[in-house]
Amino acid sequence: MIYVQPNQVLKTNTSTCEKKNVFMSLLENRFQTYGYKEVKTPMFEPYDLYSTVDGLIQQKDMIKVIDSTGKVLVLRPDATIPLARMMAQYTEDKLKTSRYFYMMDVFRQTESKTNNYNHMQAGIECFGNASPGIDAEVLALSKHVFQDIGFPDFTLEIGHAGFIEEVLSKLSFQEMEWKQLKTYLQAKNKNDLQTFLIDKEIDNSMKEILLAIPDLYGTPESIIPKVKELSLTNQMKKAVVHLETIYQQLELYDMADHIVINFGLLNQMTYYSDIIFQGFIKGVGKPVLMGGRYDTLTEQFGMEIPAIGFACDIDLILNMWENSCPKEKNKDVVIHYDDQMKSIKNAYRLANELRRANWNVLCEHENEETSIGNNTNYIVCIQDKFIFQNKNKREIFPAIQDILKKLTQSNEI
Amino acid sequence: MLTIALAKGRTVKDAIQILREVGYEFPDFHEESRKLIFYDEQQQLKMLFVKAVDVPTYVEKGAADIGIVGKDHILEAKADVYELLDLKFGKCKISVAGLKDSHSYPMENVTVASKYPTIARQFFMRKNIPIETIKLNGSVELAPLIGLSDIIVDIVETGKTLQENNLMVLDDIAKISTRLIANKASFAIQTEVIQLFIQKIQSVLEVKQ
Repeated sequence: MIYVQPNQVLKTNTSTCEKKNVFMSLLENRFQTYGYKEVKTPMFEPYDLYSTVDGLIQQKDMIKVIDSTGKVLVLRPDATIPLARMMAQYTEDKLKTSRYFYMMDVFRQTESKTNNYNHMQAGIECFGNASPGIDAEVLALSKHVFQDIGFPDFTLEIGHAGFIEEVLSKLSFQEMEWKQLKTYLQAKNKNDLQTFLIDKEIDNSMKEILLAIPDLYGTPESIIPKVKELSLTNQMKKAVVHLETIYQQLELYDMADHIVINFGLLNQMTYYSDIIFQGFIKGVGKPVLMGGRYDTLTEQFGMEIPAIGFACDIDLILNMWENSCPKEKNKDVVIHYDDQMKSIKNAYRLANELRRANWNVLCEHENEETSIGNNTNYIVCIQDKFIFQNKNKREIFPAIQDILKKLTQSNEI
Repeated sequence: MLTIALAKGRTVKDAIQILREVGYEFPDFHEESRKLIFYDEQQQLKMLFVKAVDVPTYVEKGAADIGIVGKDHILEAKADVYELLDLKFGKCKISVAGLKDSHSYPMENVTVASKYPTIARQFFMRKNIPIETIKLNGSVELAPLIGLSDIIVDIVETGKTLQENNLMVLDDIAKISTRLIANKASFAIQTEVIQLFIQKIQSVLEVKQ
């Protein structure tokens, strides 16, 4: 999202917008080819919704506004939660698999980025189906999107929130210690983790698993056998088998390359219940895509509906994106006329015809000055004649039909 | 090719040494050099020579894939990176120090001077002591001597500087050593290359022990 500031050069602004539109249409198209339908949710949401539901956005990060009755609202801080709520509240009976995609701004103010309130997110949510087949389809779709936009080395890192949750549920710590433990796991900091665990009274098999987690990172072929060697609980075994199944399905989609398994993956959104994943592209230090399965979130809104989804950070990706496959762009032309009635009439007629043929036309008096790009075509209407001019050539046409024919039928311009 | 950010300062010699033992030679590198980017002989490693405090930032943002830097700077930056190895050199600790005759620090209205305001704030928050921090960039020991602060939070290697300035350690916050950190995206995209690099360093470390 670009944020128009007075000191920003408008020209770069417009070209960024154009680039973004092309980009978004690529995403939109790919989402649709997997059967997803677009939805939008309100920009303003009740503050209560986010302050009473567990595992959501930090309250201090949200942008609050007060309406005319004094009710406190927040600017939509997330797309998944309102969608999940919508599904839970407006679904009448048992839900069939429903696929939705969105392209919306989300608003958050984090410590590090205090001046950047809005983030463009594009993502999908699939409700009502908990099968590994859907998980694989969603992952395949995420890879497909990045193939489309020209990042063949897009790498998907997959973890399992249920697995970690199960390990942590066997431990009892104080809040400070939880924080420490999570920091060490997230940083794969084996050294400090080891020191931390020395004087903690934990079952040996759990200790073994905790210490193994930092190394449970790599290709599925190497990691899945490794994790199976540990003494896992039934719940953990189920999680591993689940990941294995998904991976096999991804092979069927031909999307099994650039997949890494990360058993230490933790998401700050604690509503994830099963697989969680992050996508990375070269040159961006942060994940450009995040998602996972959240089967229990909708329960907080009154009806349990299994769901999985992901969101792409559009701003991050756009920074890296070179428009490699531009959509056919309309051609630009500037038509100049003088004070003669005949000239004005011809100019207007020509402008009309060219616009109908999808040219971008600026029609103005010859004394006007408009800011335009370097490669613009000019047509000067003098009396009955049309003089065409651009960087490469200059040509005179005696009648409107001639110039129209030339411009709309030839590709050299 | 991997990009590695190396902290200038007290750990350079050890860091270069360990890279050499792994097999990366930087022929045109010497500490006085004004160059900021170096390549190893085989062109496999690109080294950015940056200020220690900036190493976590370079790595977190992905400008470097890996970094070698003291734990103190990682803690202070709260960088979201992988901390994969303890290189076991540049050992010291980060401590609270105050005037010799004070023996302990006051429990309220404490002013703390430090190069590490985040670490200081976190430490005292855990102790439920409200503090005010003053960020200094060097010669922190001076602050309590002239009444700029009550105490300081700084790294202590031998304790000599404290001694000479009539200061003493009041509390230890954390042990510090040099760590190898990695960017999370780089680790995902170039898993094998980075894991191999880590393994090589690890085996050198094991031999040393």
